Amino acid sequence: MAAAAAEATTDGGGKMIILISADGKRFEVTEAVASQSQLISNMIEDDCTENGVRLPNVDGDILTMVVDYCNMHAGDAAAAGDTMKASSTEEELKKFDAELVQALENPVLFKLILAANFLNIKSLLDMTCQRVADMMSGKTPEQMRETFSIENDFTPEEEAAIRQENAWAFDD
Amino acid sequence: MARTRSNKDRRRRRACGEDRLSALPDDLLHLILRRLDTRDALATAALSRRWAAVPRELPRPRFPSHRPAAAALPPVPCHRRQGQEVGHRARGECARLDAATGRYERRAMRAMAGSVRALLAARRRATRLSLEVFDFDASPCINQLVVTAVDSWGVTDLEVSAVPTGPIMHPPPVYSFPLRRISRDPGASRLRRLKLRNCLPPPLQGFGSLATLVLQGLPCSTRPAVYQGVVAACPQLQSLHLSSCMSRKFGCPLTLDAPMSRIRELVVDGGYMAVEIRSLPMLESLASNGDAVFLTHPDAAPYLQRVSLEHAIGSLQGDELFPAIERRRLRFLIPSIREFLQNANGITDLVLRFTGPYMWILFLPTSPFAPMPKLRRLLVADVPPSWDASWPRLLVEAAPLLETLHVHHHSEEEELVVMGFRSAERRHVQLVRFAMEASTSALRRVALYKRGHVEHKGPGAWEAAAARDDAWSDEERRGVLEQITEGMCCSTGQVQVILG
Repeated sequence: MAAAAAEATTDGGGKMIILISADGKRFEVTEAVASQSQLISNMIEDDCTENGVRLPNVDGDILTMVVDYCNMHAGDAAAAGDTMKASSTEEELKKFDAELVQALENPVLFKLILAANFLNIKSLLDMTCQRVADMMSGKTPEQMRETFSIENDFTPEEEAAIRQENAWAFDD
Repeated sequence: MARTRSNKDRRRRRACGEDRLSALPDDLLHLILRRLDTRDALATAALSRRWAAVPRELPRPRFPSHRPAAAALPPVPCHRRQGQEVGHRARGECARLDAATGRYERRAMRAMAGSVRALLAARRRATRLSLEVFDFDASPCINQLVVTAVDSWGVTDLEVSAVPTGPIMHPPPVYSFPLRRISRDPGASRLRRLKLRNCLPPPLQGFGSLATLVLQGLPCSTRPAVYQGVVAACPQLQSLHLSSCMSRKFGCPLTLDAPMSRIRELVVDGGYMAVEIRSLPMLESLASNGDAVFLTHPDAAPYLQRVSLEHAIGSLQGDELFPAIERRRLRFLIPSIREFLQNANGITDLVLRFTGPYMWILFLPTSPFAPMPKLRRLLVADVPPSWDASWPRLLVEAAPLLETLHVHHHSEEEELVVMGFRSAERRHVQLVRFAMEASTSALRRVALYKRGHVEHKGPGAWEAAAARDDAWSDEERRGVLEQITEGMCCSTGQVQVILG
């Protein structure tokens, strides 16, 4: 579906939009798919998608994932044309989301959060932030640092003071 | 206290890999923090300087129940065993148990006091605070926490629930704030909603923003002046709930006489209380569940529009004590319902839920329903299967302007039928026909559902929802329409019949 042969419109008449990633990869998607991004939806309204939408801070591999996600979630199957899996039921969507989120590893996950934030795709942003929260919850600060490679730059005194202030969060 | 200790070398070691999480902007970190429970979210402050600098204005503290330590505030309750119920053989065991429980209680209290101090030391923002108090004696620090939360954190929604953990006593001990206040400067507080369970209200004078007050589970030893006091102290109060509170004596109702009060909504439930409204001039909606409500004068609540009354009466037959008590209660209840409806003559929406094995509403020869000249919407909910449809006729007769009538019949098959409708039931057809024929009625809409349920939208307000999976077939529709309109001529044209 990505970078498919260029054709101005689909059979259903839905306009196609071309997204261009930071590394120059081109993705052709229907308006219905693209407008899940509030950013692009606004651009469509303002009629400035003629020459493709350049997304200078989203890499091609990340944009592939975003486009896949949007294709899966495009609500109106008819408007989305043949690139859309018209029969994706709610169950399938849930499965797709769960698999996507589980597959996300450290660097990709954060790139995806930034992309979802930049493109303003609320459901994707919610899902990815929830994944990070799930990875953090129930962990001690030390374990969190381990998981996310966070450097502890406190002096021992500072750390003691911080722990004192929020003592009840560290009590067992 | 710290769960892991790292030596200095390790602390200073730059972790491998890139820290992309900390590189996220603050607003994205907030999105993530919001999804953590309060304890984890606060713990992230100890990750690094970057994290310590993330402002933590968490909208609402969340204390997960599955982690007991997270409830460091308050401590896990130590339910003391009841000494008197234990036999001789277990005495030794008991002594050991007591010693252990005592130790744990002291430890929990120390941990709690420390936690409260730590909570108080930091500047916070919170809109909602919900506390459970277990140890009534050692609670000044909890009281202090409440004061700080109301005065400095800007709490708008406060809930304090006192749970006695000592031996069961009758009446159970009731909690009162040891500092006798919940704010140093009530006028500046943003408190909008206060819910107290088994807890005497503190002085509420001057809490200008307080709109909703819920008092729950106050024992019968509570003086009427306690309730009257809060109503007098908070003339701006909009909504008052008295839930499972007990009157001192059943025959001696709590009188509410507050001509300055702006209470719009009154909810009395639990079935242990009798309330007499002498004056609540702004009252618009009233719900009572089992509790007797008296309205002795039409001017006591002139704007009362939405009313919900629920009463369940047990068996009336037999010579035993219980039926006798119920019969006595009825002699007192039915006239009170009549008097209430007579004096609340501005009612537009009424919900009645009368249940019990015997159709007690017709227990006395006189009709319990006074004319309701403005009634437009009427819901008769959960009619027991043993009751027939004769009595809602009395309601239809009493309400000339009635527009919507819902009767929910609990049939034997656990079906819930709006308008009580099963076409095979003669009495259901009769009721519909009666309602449509009654010349005094302005009934415009009759909705017949096979199954459905009622969604309560606050006192005296509801919405009926039909079950989608059990609609009428075309053939059934025709049959039903024929049945109910058979032999009728002119009046049926004005009534919309909906077979949902």
